[in-house]
Amino acid sequence: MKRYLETGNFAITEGAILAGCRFFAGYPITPATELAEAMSFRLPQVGGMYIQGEDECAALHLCIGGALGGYKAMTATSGPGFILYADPYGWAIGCEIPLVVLNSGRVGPVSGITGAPGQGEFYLTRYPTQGGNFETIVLAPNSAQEAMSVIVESFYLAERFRTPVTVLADQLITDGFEDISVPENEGEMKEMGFRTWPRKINKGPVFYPSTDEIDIPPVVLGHNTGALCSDWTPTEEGYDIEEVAAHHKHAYRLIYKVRNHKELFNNLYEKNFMDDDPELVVVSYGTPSRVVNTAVKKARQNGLKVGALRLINLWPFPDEHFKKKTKYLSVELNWDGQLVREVQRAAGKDSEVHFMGSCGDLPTVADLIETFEKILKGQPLKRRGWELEEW
Amino acid sequence: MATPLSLKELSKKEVRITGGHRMCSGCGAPIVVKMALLATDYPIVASNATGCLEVSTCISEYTAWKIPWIHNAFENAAATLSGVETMYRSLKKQGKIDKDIKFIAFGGDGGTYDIGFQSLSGAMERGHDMLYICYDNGAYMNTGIQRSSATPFGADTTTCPAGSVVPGKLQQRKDLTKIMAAHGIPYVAQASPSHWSDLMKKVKKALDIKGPKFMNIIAPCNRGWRSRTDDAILLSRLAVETCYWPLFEIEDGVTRVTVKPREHKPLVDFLKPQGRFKHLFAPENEHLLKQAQDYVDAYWERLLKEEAFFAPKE
Repeated sequence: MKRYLETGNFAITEGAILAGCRFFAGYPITPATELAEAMSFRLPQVGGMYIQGEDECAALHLCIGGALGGYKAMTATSGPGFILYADPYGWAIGCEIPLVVLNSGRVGPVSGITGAPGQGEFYLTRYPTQGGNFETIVLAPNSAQEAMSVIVESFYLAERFRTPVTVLADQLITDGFEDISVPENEGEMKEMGFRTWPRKINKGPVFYPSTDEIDIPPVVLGHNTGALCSDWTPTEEGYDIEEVAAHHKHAYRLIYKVRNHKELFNNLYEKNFMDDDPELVVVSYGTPSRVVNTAVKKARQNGLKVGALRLINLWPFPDEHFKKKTKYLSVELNWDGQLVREVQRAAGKDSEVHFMGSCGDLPTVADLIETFEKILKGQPLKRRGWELEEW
Repeated sequence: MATPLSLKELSKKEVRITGGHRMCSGCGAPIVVKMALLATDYPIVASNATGCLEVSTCISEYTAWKIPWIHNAFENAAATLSGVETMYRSLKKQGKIDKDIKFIAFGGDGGTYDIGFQSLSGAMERGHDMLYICYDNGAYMNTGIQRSSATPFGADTTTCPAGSVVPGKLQQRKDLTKIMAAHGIPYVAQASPSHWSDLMKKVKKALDIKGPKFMNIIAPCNRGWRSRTDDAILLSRLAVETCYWPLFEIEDGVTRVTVKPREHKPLVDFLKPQGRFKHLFAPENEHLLKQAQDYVDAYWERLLKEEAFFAPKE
């Protein structure tokens, strides 16, 4: 184990290399540029390839090319670049190509502010492309160290599910300097709970099964399998077909291969002070969860019965955490309320769901505790959208 | 509208991009913009692709632009401006505008050669009456010196770092000026801020021509080129004198070299003052220097041949 004082971008680079990533296609964008820079330096050292696209759309297409060539591939960007992924992301979902995409969120919309964190891509990562009929896997770390383990896990899930996996970080995680431990051998990787899955090659005869089965190797070109890799509806044998009945099978697979195997990643969450049925559950993910954890700890010392639920696995949304009838507060880095909508849907009508958003900055511990108190006392909350509202 | 291009007259004119913006000291880009806007008296509407020029001229609550200015995103300066130009044409036709307004899009090399190329090519092909000016500093300087397709051969950038395995960028630059000429548009030119009169004449000429125009202007970046802060003009002059950046124009398909250096200096004169080429001067990289020189020589000779082909026969 080697310790570093480094950025999240460094942790992600090292994590990806540990997971077997040997192909990175990037395009400069703050705050993910350093990741591309680090990859351009590190990958050639381990026999990998770095390519810079002419834009983000090309970068993800390049990754698909790399993955079809048999490499574990990855790209990274921020919101304004993620939106250009719409086209290749759809292809990767439809053709079941394992990839890892990192999005380092900054406050938006559009260019917004490069140096301020944001969580505006919660729904965008669920629906990164058009057409529907698919399920996506999205994971969100809250520290540089965890970004490393989440990246390793993403490569593992991408291979097993044969699908692109998005990692939703934010500017504070990728650019912030933290204490990072990097395992140096497989024993240490196991010790840290890192799982890896080797790239296997699909030799047929079934290339695009119509079942929800996982662990089916991806189609890799150059193995004389004859399977196509096109963005039309595929048959099981790997040909294109224009037939609704065949598309039913394809769509079923794209949705249910993920939904029916949630047990592989639905242990990815963190609960603090949740054992004694708290009266208020504070839900968050990413950087704000660190402030929330501190606030909840302090509130407990003040005698407030609150608990913190941090989601790491964001999509498919873990509805099972919200079955208990109680009060929920969603803390997010946006003013329009995204995570809260899912919490409200999952919690049902009997639970009370509140929203606290911030835009480009983090909530403070004092603000959070004041809000907890108000909610617990049933006091009226400020009605302005950007402060707090009853959702 | 005649603009006398004498320094005395120019010094009296209003500068339409003000000082006090936050471009780095010694940056070539604002010099290029200042010269381009000084070259004409027409009212100008500008659009700007994401880049150093855009972020540094409109930082928090301030703008350095005294003209209507649009920033949209990285890939679409030309598309956005062609929309504006179309609306202007319509309003003019309806008699709602009587002014003669000109449209200029500014983009760095990343936003022009790479991500904005499709949008630029489309606007040129559709034939909008606009001028696209690319200030070419040879990398993505705004995000911290990543390679672009305008980065010269052998240059060290953060995404093609020069080391013991890879000697910087392995590819030659994309010849965008010629690509734009291949669109068959009425005017394409290459210019340098060191030759200010040539640059301004070209801008003035371009704005008087109806239809799509493109200009590629070298803009030294001391951060990315790893050169002295006060060397911007010196380096752009050396770029011309070493024929690394030939000054020419292609008007209606006819090539004319506008500045022929008296003495064709060796390329190393241009490379030496720049830290990004430092590794090329190591003994083991001598062949790379030769490769770079050969490319520049071949380009210059081809250009002269093209000019001779079009020259009026005696």
